[in-house]
Amino acid sequence: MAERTTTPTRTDRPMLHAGLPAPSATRVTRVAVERPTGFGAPVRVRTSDGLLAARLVARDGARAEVALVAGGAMLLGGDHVVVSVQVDSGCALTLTDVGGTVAYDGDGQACRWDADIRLGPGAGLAWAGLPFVVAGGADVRRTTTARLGAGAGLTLRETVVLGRSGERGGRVLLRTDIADGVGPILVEELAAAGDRPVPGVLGDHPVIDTLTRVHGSLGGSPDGGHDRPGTASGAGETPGLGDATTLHLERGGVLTRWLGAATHLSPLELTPDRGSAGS
Amino acid sequence: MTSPHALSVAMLLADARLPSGGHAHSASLEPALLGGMPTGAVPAWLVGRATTVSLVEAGTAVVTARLFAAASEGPLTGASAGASDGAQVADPFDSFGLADVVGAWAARTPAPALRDAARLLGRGYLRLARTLWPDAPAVRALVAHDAVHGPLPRAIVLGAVAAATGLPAADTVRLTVYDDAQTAASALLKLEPLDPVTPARWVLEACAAAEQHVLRVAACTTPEEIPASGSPQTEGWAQAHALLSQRLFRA
Repeated sequence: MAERTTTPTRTDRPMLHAGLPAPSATRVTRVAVERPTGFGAPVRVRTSDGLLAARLVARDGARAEVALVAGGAMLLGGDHVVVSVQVDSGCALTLTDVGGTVAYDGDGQACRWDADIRLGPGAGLAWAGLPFVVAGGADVRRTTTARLGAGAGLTLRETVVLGRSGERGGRVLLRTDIADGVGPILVEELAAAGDRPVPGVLGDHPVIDTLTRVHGSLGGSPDGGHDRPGTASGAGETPGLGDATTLHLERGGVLTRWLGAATHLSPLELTPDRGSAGS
Repeated sequence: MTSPHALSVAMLLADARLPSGGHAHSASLEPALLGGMPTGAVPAWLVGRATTVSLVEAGTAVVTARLFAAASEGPLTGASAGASDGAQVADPFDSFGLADVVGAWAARTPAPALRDAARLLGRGYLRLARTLWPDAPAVRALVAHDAVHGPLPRAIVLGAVAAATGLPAADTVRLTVYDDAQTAASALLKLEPLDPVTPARWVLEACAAAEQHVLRVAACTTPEEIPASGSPQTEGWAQAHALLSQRLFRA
């Protein structure tokens, strides 16, 4: 993996070269945050570029902020975006998207977007994703896999939109798999197709907006979080979230989700909470 | 003692007249209707359930049955590969991963209202199972687990019953899909006036839609392989319904 300069830079807006198809070979976008080498030194940030480029925005002795920038038109049929994020023990990373992503009509060719997140003990990641639009004719498999060390905190915003303005959108399979050393915390697969809405899954809503906040367990009994009969199912609804649903996961952590007509109507906060890295 | 055929057991379990507490549940139908879903959407909604949340339940039952079947063949068989390193419970079945299966199910069931409903149903099922198959090792293991950790979800209990009675995995999947659809269909007749025969057709359509998934789900052997197909809109409706005081069904 090539080590990029760690001088903080401002990134330009992504340029979309519609005429130049992106290479379909899988190249991994990597972001790794490592502990400082010495007292007073900033965290080390190693990046390498794939279909998404990683740009260091800021860092200090404990945290870094990195922006993900599209390197060209994406996603096209056959594209495979792979993002690998690693945050060492005690470090924190804020990831931001520079511009949303559109998965275009692949003319029958599917595309993939896979994120793999590894957080060390006590590490933190806040990823404020921008909308991921599944255009008509697109066929996308988008996965997020996260493994959390003890006490690690993960905040993820994922906004998926079926269709650009005026179209119903293509097919998408969203898979989220979050686990720690104890076991799975959240495993979810959502399949949707813009031209075939299913009542109970998304209904007629083209926007699925999800904010996930989870933590790795701090040791303890392996099944300590399991098997507890739920109490008052609806308790703990977060005020001010309108018609969003707040789901308290069995292993702890909260998934807040809104289904709706347009991203600007979502009551979810655009950015993860103040406790995250960066700022 | 002679044993009943597995098909007879399946019919018993799928029978709404069975006193297991299922009559208090609408399989998420009442929450959906109160949430604004029109009655006309029920057939598509049933198909959606049969190909999403019902498969999570079915896979959980299948893997539970596999764990107990492997355990009954003696310890340290192939199934132990998926066992939790940290199983602390003295019961030998736990070393084969019962807690892992429950954990996999819970991670795939993010809505607390739906986890609660499944555990209420599980309690009723276990009461029945411990009376009908008191000597079956799988049922005894669940009773012991229940005493320590609290109620188990229905899918886990169904899996133990399947292991105890020899219900084939594919039929366990079909039973789960059918029971969910039929529960919703009979609840519909209490909530909306319509020809009672009409929902029966919808139940069979839902079962037919799930059929292409039956063998895949029946082949699940580890907790990781359990389907994770979710239904966010149903989850939202379930949470809202749990807060209502005026409702006919528990969930």
